[in-house]
Formats: sequence, structure tokens, C-alpha cells
Amino acid sequence: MRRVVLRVREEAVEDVLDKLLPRLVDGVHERAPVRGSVELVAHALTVPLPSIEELEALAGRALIALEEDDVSDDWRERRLLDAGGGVVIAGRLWVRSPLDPPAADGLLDIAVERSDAFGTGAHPTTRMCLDMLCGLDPRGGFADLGCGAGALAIAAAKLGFTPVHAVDYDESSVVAARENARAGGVEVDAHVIDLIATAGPAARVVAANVPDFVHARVAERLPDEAEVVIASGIGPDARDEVCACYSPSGLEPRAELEEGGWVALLLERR
Amino acid sequence: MTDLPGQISSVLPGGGLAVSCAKPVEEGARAALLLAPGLFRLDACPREDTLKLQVRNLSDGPCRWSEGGRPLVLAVSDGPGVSAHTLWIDAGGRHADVLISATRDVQRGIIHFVAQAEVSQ
Repeated sequence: MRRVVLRVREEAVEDVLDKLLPRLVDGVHERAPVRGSVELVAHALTVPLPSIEELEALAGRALIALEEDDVSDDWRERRLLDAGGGVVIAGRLWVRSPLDPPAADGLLDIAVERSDAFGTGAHPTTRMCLDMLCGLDPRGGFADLGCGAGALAIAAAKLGFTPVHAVDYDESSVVAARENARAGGVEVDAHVIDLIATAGPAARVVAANVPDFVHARVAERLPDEAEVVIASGIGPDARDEVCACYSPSGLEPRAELEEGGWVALLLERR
Repeated sequence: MTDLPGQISSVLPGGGLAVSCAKPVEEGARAALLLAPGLFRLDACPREDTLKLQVRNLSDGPCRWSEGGRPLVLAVSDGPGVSAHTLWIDAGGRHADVLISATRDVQRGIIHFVAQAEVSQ
């Protein structure tokens, strides 16, 4: 499969994409900026790519370099080459799909097969929880409420929390979390719970990456053991409302992150 | 460039515009889904459980949209499950209602998108 890699000036990348995307029907993979430039990788997936001359003309003066080669037709191999989806969290975790390369030395490897569940670490709400989790003393138990594919629970277990519970209302998510934990070599007690109707498991640290309205139910039934709550999945307009839900339990915000329009709160007992 | 390859555009009775497309997008790639000439372009980038949408303002005026850049949850299953999203875009003084549905083909590492925008006059 033909591939082209265009390296363009970072400040002009959106202008370049204005020209390129209407011509690159299959889209581009954007690599993270390095020293003021961004690499845009395009494949001839369903239609042929434009000629080198046309691509040069489209990118214009923002173009730094353009390379062309042939790569594997196997998307898994191309993913390793072009768009590795792994992400480093707080300099401690490497959260990735099993298709991505394993962690480098010094990073805890969190491999999450998404199956059809949420919570792989690709979404900002999950990443912010992981970031906050890394800053906590891994003493005592951890409960991942709305665990999805189990990224938070697996990370907690690898960071040293024990026991680790993971619950979700969706059975396929629980199955995915269980299998991901097993594949990662950690013990996670995963089971189905509807947090609207039932209290989550007791633990010193609780993470709830759930919709705004579920936070109200979680807060109402928060176990006394919970000293720290990581609350995520919060829209910017609901931040104060979610804080107010946890306040009667004596939990007050100690830290806050915002990414991509989502808010995560670290709440601790007064 | 007034249209996207593969996009179907129709002028609606009363002067509105309908644009639609159906296309596969590889995991991690950013691709243009819809183009309303002189108004906006809607890009999609699916990665794992996340659908990042970006609206590029092509009008001379302000542009707002319902998600405002907030990544969505791409809850598409490995099987026939479909993830559907509705949003709106205001650009160039015109309003667009957008519907996007996505189905994941896990064996090929692609998401099948079907998208449609109805732009008011």
C-alpha cells in the first residue's frame, strides 16, 4: 500500500489540512508535534493518493519534507508504524491497546482491549482519572465505578492498590475488564452493578467516571470507607452540581483537571 | 474545491442544503466527513472508544457547534452495533443539524461512518 508522510510546520497544520483533507479521502494520521513540525501520514486505503507534485502544491510553503514509500496492507502493522495509540500518563503508566508496542522500561504497562466497552484510556475522562490516580498513595482498596474495559482498575492494581473492585452496569464491559485484568496479570474483582440502584463496593479510593446524573446516585450511597473520590465524566456546566453531590459526605475538591471540555475532580474528606 | 469526493449535495426546497456521505475511516485517522461550502467542514477521528469531531469554520462569520470540540464516546461494538450522534453547527449565519452514525469493523480496523447535515437557508 502506498504511503506518504508530509512534515509540515506546526502552526500551519490546520491550513494545510484545509487543502489536503478534501483530496485525501481516507484521511490522515497526525503524529504528535516534534520541534515545531507535525507529520501527516496518508495511505491509499480505498482510493489512490494524489501525486507527489499535487501534494507539494497543496501543502505549499508549510511543507518541510515529503516522503513516499510502500507499507503493509495489514492495518495492525501500519498502526505500529504510523499511529501507535499508546499514551504515557504522569510519566508512570503506558496505556495502550494490545496492538500497540509494550511499555518502555520504567513505565507500568496497561494494555486494554476495548472490545465494545468504554474506558480504554483514549478518552480524556479516563486519562484524567489515570493522572489523578498516579498521584495517590496506593494504600488500601480501590473501586472503579463504571469500569468499562477496566483501564482504571488495572492501573490501580499495578500501582499497588489492593483489593481492586471494578463494576459496571454493562455485562460486556465487566467481561472485558475481567479479561483485560487477567491478561495484565493483576487481580481485579469485576462484577455487574447498576449504580443507579445499588451502592458500589467499599474502598478507600473510589473512581467514578460516569455521566453527571450517576454521580448523584454514587454520592448518595458512598461507603464510609471512601476517603478519596476521583469524579470524572463531568461536563463543564455540571462541575458545581457534582461537587454539591459529594459535599454532604464531607468530600471537597482538592484538585481539578480539564481536557477537551471534560472536567475531573479529586475530592477528599475534610 | 466545492465538494468532497463521495459527498452527495442537494439543494432543498426553500433554499436549504443537504449534504451526506458514507465512508470508512481507519482507526486513528482524521478524515473529512462533510463539507458545506463556504460554511464549515466536519472532520472525524475515531480512536478506540473515542470519537473526536472537529468543525472547521469556512465562513466569514463566527462558528459555534453543540459539542464545541468535546470528544464524544464512540460506543460502537465489534458487531453490528451502531453509535449515533446528533449535533448542530452554526456558521456563516446558517444553522445545520447533523446526524452521524458509526459502526466498527474490528477485523479491518475501520469505522464505517454515515453522516448527513441539513443546512437551513
